[in-house]
Formats: sequence, structure tokens, C-alpha cells
Amino acid sequence: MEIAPGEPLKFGVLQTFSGGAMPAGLEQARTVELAVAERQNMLLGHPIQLLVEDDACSAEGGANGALRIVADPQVIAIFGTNCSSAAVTASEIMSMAGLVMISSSNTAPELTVVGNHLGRHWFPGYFRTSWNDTETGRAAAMFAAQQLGLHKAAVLHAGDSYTKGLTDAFTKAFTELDGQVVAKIAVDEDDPNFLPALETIARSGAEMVFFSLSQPGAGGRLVLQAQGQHALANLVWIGGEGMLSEAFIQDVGSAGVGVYILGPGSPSSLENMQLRDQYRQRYGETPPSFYYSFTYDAVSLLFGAIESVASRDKDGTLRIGRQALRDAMYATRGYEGLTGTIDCNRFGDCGVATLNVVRMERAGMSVEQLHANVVYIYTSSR
Amino acid sequence: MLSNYVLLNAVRRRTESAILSSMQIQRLVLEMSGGLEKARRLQRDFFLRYPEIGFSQAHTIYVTEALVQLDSVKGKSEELKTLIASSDVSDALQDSDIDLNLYLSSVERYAETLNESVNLMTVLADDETGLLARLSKVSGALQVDLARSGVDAWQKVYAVMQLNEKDYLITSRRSYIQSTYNLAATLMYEIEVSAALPDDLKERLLENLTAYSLLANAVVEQDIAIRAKSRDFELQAQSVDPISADLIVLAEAEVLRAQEQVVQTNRLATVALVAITVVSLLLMNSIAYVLNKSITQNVIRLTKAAGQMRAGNLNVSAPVESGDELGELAGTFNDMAAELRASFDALQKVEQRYRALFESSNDAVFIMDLEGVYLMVNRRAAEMLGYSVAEMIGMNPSQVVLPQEYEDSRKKLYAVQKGAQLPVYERTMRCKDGTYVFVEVSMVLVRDADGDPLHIQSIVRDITERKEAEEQIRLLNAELEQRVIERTKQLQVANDELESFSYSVSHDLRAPLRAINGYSQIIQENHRSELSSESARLLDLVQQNALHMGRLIDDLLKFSRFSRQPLKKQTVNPNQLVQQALQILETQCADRPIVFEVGELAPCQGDASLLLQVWVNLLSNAIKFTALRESARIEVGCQPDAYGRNTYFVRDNGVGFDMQYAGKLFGVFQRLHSTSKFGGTGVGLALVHRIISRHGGRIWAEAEPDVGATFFFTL
Repeated sequence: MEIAPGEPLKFGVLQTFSGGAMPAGLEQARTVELAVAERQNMLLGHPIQLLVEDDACSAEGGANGALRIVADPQVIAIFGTNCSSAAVTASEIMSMAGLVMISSSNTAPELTVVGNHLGRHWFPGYFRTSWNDTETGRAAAMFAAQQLGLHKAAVLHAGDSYTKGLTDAFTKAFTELDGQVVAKIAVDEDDPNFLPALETIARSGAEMVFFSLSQPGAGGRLVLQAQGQHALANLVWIGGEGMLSEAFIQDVGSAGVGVYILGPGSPSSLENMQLRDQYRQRYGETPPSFYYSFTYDAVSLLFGAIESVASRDKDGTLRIGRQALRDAMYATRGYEGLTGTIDCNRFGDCGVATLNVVRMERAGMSVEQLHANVVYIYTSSR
Repeated sequence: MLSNYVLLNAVRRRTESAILSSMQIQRLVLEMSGGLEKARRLQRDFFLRYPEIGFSQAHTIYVTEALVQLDSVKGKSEELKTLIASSDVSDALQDSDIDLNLYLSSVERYAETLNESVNLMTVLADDETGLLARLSKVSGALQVDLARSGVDAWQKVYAVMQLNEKDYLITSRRSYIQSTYNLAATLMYEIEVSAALPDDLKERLLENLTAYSLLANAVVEQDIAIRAKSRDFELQAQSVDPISADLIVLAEAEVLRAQEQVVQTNRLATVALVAITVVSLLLMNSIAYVLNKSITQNVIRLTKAAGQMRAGNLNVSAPVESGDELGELAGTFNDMAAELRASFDALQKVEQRYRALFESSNDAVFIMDLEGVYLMVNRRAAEMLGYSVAEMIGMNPSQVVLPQEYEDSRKKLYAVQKGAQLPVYERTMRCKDGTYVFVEVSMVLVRDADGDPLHIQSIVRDITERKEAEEQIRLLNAELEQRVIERTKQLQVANDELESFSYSVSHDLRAPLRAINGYSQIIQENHRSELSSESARLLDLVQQNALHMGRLIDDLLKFSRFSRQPLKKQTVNPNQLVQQALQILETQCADRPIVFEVGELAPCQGDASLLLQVWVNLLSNAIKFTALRESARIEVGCQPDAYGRNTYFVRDNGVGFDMQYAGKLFGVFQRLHSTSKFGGTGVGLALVHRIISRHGGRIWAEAEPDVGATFFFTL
């Protein structure tokens, strides 16, 4: 593509700005803004223009948001999405338009690779600095089977790509470790009544439940409704990283004591702290998760790749080859980012999985305290 | 002078091209908008009508046509994109390129989503192979086999499973289906461990329960996917509709811009004509001054021709044939006149093409003066309102707009006069024959090159058909909502009854009761002599009460059975049912004279066996409560109500009752009279009420103490 002198370099920002997953979308969109502001809104001597769209954290939202972005033929790449379910459709539309899309929190295996098989929703040009949930599932299964010595598990998800993908990954890894998944349950996250699901768990004879939900409120309701039920008294709860939030801690109260949560390892480098402070200064609040680091790495990685492939004509016109940009991204090796050393594989997985299992010791812990109470650390073998 | 001609020709060509492309842009934009709207209407109709006319027919009528429409919209938007790129249009239209990309891709996605959505619906609801049809089949088989098992508790569990299934269909909450899985698991466990069940029945039940759970799960997944598609349609509309609205505004502005160019060209042509004429005259005067009288005649001819030209006759030529300078001058004059004539012909053609577009427009177009008086209307406008074009000239909106909307129309006209730009609005117009049409109106002020108001142009689209379709959809939606309310009510009633029965009645009660009755009878028959008279009296009371309780249980079980028995509706002749009921009740009224008056009863749709029970119970009641009358009279009849529905009634001159207790009449075990005076269990009318409710009908009573009672019901 060609960009005339003075014309902007356009990037889509496709994140969630409505519904329960809005805080995550807002955090990542703000971090893109922050990373761009750090460069005085300029790249290769051209102003940077961000086209921001809401993906509503759903397949249909992702598709329509992506269509709005790719309608402009001058868009180079998309930062997003935060929800895997939105990426499933957005990735295909972006790919057909010849763009690059980089996510900092999609973890659904099907977006890249599942085991040795190409994911059902993999499309050329898709990248992520976040990890693949194959790793998350393995981390949870290893913790449950090897650390806690559990053999029978129930899994619960919300039926979408992210939550179901994660429980599938857990099921595979747990079974490989000789565990048995005795119940697989899908729920609606906005359903006020989880008792039938809990009854199924109780009947199944499960020793533990691995629950993967996007909305912390739903996780809180699930654990609360189990409280006081004799048949569930000794059940071990392990939640996906969606529960690593203030909202879950508040909702669940003392019923959450003893619940394990799996989430990204807390980045503690000086650069990370500085970025966190900048975020707080600019937006008046602390980022609600650690994904800002992954977003910052996504921006740096993409801008670096653009700088490496761009060329300039005599008349000042900037040229960026779309395929060249994809190739440069796939060729990323040893990039030192805030989240670790980044290598991109041929499926677009660039993230390093450092995952912690934390335990809620008492009601009213802060998110920071919960993050700090690590009981198990998992690092991918990549 | 020649440069004036060149300029005139260039302007003429540009003007012609601007008018044509602007009209073409407007036509494409309006056709795209109309096509999209039509596709959406067809899609809505498909989802509303397929339950009625079947999938394949609905697909052929609505979906295929919707896809054709979408394909046409896609083609037109591509054409529009090319036209905009190749025409000299406004910057705003040029900038709409990105919007057009989005419009195009959204329309493509609309067609894909429509196909996917229809496929999902087919998998879910196809009459033959759909998941719902298969679920219903498995349900039917389960119901039969559970009844064969003879275990009531299992049948009750299954009834709750089905209620959960219905609750899911109403609320779309997965927890109801999860409850169903749990209940199915309970049933499967109990069936598996049951020793009493034959192996083939056991195997079939387990197989069908597994199939039921799998199908219920598949229904949920399909339903969730369909709801996601609905949200997809909404999001697509959010992308496309604003673009469509913007394009309509831009296209209208483009047409106005082209019209202004026409005005400018006309002005330029007038100026050029005057200039040429003046120059020609000056030239002739000079020639007249310079030349001698020998050429006066030619000069006079030339002057005369110039005079005619000035008077507007462009067909004139100067008849001078001399070979001198004068002849050359006349030749130049004639060439100029021919050029001028060609220019005016071309302008006239442009005017004619504009008029042809004006006349061939599918929308009504009204040109009004600033006071709103119609100066010009196209044929479509006259056709729409039933006037001739000539009749409409000189009329004004007050004569064709609905009186209660005229004040608003006047305000809008005033606003446009002042230069306001109004969004498209809806209006009701009155035709010459007194009928009305619903229209969408866009109105703009047309100015001349100096910016002074020239006239007002109003484009009016007939949307009567759309309005009627919307009204039909609204009515269908209202009907659907009503059905949901009724369904919920029925579910509630079924639930209440189920609860009441599961706790109060079971056929197991019969066994101990039979024992009480049997043992009392043995004592009566074999040990009576050993009993004191008081003991014998008390034993009689035990027996009487046991018999009464037996009757109560029998009635309750009958109530339960009739409540669950599937309805087999057919055309029923109530006259025959009443005669059958009277035969059944013959013994009840054999000991006293009762006058029965049975009128002609209109046939109805219903389950004959259940309706027979209704007549038996109502007539039995009438016989019972006229027992104290010396001359009992019972009347059976049928009369139409205010809505023309048949209302059947049974009237007696018995003891009647106080209307303040009418609310208790139809409850189970509710009695308005003591059992010492009139026997019975208090279930009969409850059963009648239940049967009538299941038929979707209504029952009520009117009565007066010691005068009599009348029970009315509809079906």
C-alpha cells in the first residue's frame, strides 16, 4: 500500500466497549493510545490515526466491527480483539482484506493451533502476544492432578470460543494425566440460576470443578449458590483468569475462600511499573489487569515490523507491502518485550505463557494480594 | 464571439453530463435503499410465515427473492461506486467511497447471514427432519413407554422435564435444560436398577432418554446460534442504515447542484445571445455606415434577419448571396445563427431528458411556488392522488394532505422557505376519491445562481404497502405475544395442578382405603353380634366415610386423567353429546318428573369424550340441585355472544347460589352447599372448568338463591 506524504498511517482498534467484558477492552484500547502517544502520534514521519470500533465481545460484533475497519483500504493493521469469540470472525475478515491483526488477550487455541493441528479459526495475518489456552488448560490440569492429587473433575463453560476452548484444553490435558472429566456443563452467564448445573456436578461425583467464564459476576454467583450445599462441601474450585478481578472477590465474599484462580504471571520489571504509572497518570486509575503489558508489546512488535519493511519513493510516498509486513511478523525471533522474549511461530502465536495459580485465603483480599498469593507457577516449554 | 460559442458548448456538455449522472446516482441510491428494505421485509415474512406454510414453500417465496434483491442491491452499489469515481460529483460524494465499501461488504454479509440463519432454522424447525420434530417424536415414544411401565412417579418426573423444556422455549435460559438433564439422569438410573421392568421396555426407555437429552442439547445450541444471527442482523443494520440515509441526502444535493448548473447555463446562453446580437447589430451599423446605397438592399435583408433573431427566431438566415465582404458577413451571420440554433436544440434535449426523468420517476414529484401552490407535478403524482396533471396545477397541499396533518405541513413548508433542510418525514395524503395513501416526503428549496429562492421541490414516495406490511407484522407480533402469555398461563395452571396432585393424591391411597373398607365390612358381617349398638353406629360411620373418601379419590384421579389426556379435536355435534349425557344420567332422575328443554346446539370443534364429561357434569349438577323442586325444569341451549362465538348453557330452576361465592365454584373440593343436603365431592365443576380451559374456552355462571342457576361456556 502507498501513503502519500502527510497522509496518516491508519490502524483499527477493535475491542469491547460494551457489556461485561468492557473493562478489558477499554484497558487494551487505552494502552494502544498510550503507546502511540509515547511516539508523539507519529510513525515513519506520518501521523498515526486510530479507527476505534466495538466488537461487543461476540462473533457477530467482531464481524461487523472488522467490516467497518477494513472498509477503509488505507488501514494497515488492527489491534484486537480482547475477546476470542470476536476474533473468530474478525480474523477471517481482516485476513481476506490482506491486513495484519494482533491481539493481546485472545487465548482460544482454535485461533492459531490446537496441539499439532491448525486451529479451525486460524487465518493468515493473525498474531497474538498473549498465550495459547492449550498451555492454560495444561497448567490447570497439572496443578489439579499433580499438586492436589485430584482424579475426577467437572468442567463448566459458557459455550463460546474462549470459555469452551479453555475447558476443552483442560479436559485434554487432565485426561492425559489419567484424570477423568465426569461432567461437562454449559451455562448462560446471565442466568441467575446455577442450581441445576450444581446439581449435575454433585451427581457426577466430581472432586473438583474447573470453571471457565468471561464474567466475574457469573463466577461469583456460581460459587455463592454452591455454598451450604452438603454434596458440594468438599469440592475444589479452580477458576479461569476471568475471576482474577475485584468484581469476583467482592461478589463471592467468604464463599470464595479456598478458590484457586489461574492467571498470567505478574510482570514485575521496571519498564512494566513505569507503564503502569503512565497509565494511572493518564487515565486516573490502575489498569484492571496485566494485559496492558501484552498490548504494549503488541504495538511495539507491529510498529517495529512496519519500520523494517517500509520503503520511501523519491516523491516522499511511503510504501508498505502487506505480505512483507505479515512475513516480517512471522519472522519475529528474540524480541525483548515487557512480557518476556517474544518469538512468533508460523501460526501467529507469539506469547510466552507464564501462568500462576493463586488461592483466595480470606474474604476481602485486594486483587494485588490475590495476585501475590501464588501457590503454583507454570511456564510453557516453548 | 466564437469564444462565446466554445464556452457555451463546453458548459452545455458539462451540464448535460452533471444532470444525467446526478439523476442516475439518485436513482441508484433510492433503488439500493428500497431493495434492502424489501429484502428485510421478505426475511421478516419468512420467519413469520414458515410455521404456517412450511419451510420449503416459505424458502421459495421469501428467501430466494430476498437473496435476489440483495444481489441486485450489491450490483447497484458497485455501479454507484464506479459512477461516483468516474463523474464530476461533489467532494462529499467522492468521500463516501469508504462508506460504500462498508455498504457493499455489509450487504454481502447480510446475504451470507441470511443463508446461515435459514439453514439453522431448517435444522431446528423443519417439519420432517428438524430437531424440534425429532424431539417431539422421541417425547411421544417416551410418554407411551413410561405409561406402559405403570410407574406414576416416572411419568410425573417426565411431565416436569417437559415443563422445563417449555420454560426454556419461553425464557431461553439454559438452567431449565440442565434441570431436564438431571431429571433424565434420575430416570435413567431408576429404570436401570428396576427389576420389574421387561428388558425390551427398559432398553427402549434408556435409548429414548439418551436421545431426548442429546436432542434437547442440540436444540439449545441451535437456538443460541440463531439468536446470535439476529444480533448480527441488527449490527449490520446499524452499519448500513446511516450510510443509506447519508447517500440519499448526498444524492439529493447532487441533483440540486446539477439543477443549479442548468440555471447557470441558461443564464450564460442568454448573455451570449444578447452579446452576439448586439455585436451583430453594431457590425451591421458599421457596415451601413461604410458601404454605399448599392448594397443597401442586402443590408436591409441582413438587418431584418438580425431583427428576427433578436425577436427570438433562431431559424432565421440572412438571404444575401453577393460574393463581396457583405456576402461573407452574411455567411458568418448565418453560421453563427446555425451554431446558436444547435446550442439551443442541445439545451432543449437536455431539458427534455430531464423532463423524461421527471416524468418517469417512480416517485411523485411536486414543484411548488414559495407559497406551496403546485406549478408542476409529474404523472406519478397525479396517478397516486387520482387527479389529472392539469387538475393538480394550481392546487396546494391543504387540498391533498390529511386535515390534522396540514398544520405541520404548513410549518415544514415555511421552514423550507427559510432555507431549513428537513429530514424525510411521513405524511398521509388524501386522494381525489377520498381514499388515503401513506407517503414519505422530502422537500428542498431550489435557488437560482444568485442564491435567491426559485421554487420548492418535493419528492413523495408511496409507502402504503410498506405501512400495511408493518401493520400486519405488528398484529402478528401482538398475536405472538398473546400466544406467549396464554402459553405461560397454561404452564402456570399445569404446574399448580401438578404440585397439588403430587402431594395430595396418589393411587396408593386407594390400597389402605380398600383395607379400611374391607375390614369394616368383615366386622359388620361376621362380628356384628359382638358389637354394642354405639360401636355398630360408629362402624357404620367409618364405612360411610371410607366410601366417601373412595369417591373423592376416584373423582380426583378422573380429574387428573382428564387434565392430562391429549386433546383429540374434531367437529362435534353437541346435540348428540347431550342426548348421551341424559341417557347416562337416566337413573339419577328416574324417581321424579323433570322437564328437559333442549334447544338446537351449534356444532363445535373439540374432544368428544371430554366434552361429553362436561355435559354429564353440568346436567348432573342441574338434576342434583333441582331435587327439592316439585316441578324441576332444566333448559339446554346455545346463543351467540357479542363476538359471534357460540355460547352453550345449562339453566335450572334449582336452589341456585349467592353470586358473591361464584369465584369458588370451579375450585377443586369447593362446595357451596353442604353434603348433607346435596351429595358430591366438589370435583365435578373443577373438572368441567379444566376441560373447557384446555379447549381454550371460558366457563362462568349466573345464579340467584332459590331461583336457579345457569352455567355458560364457550370453546
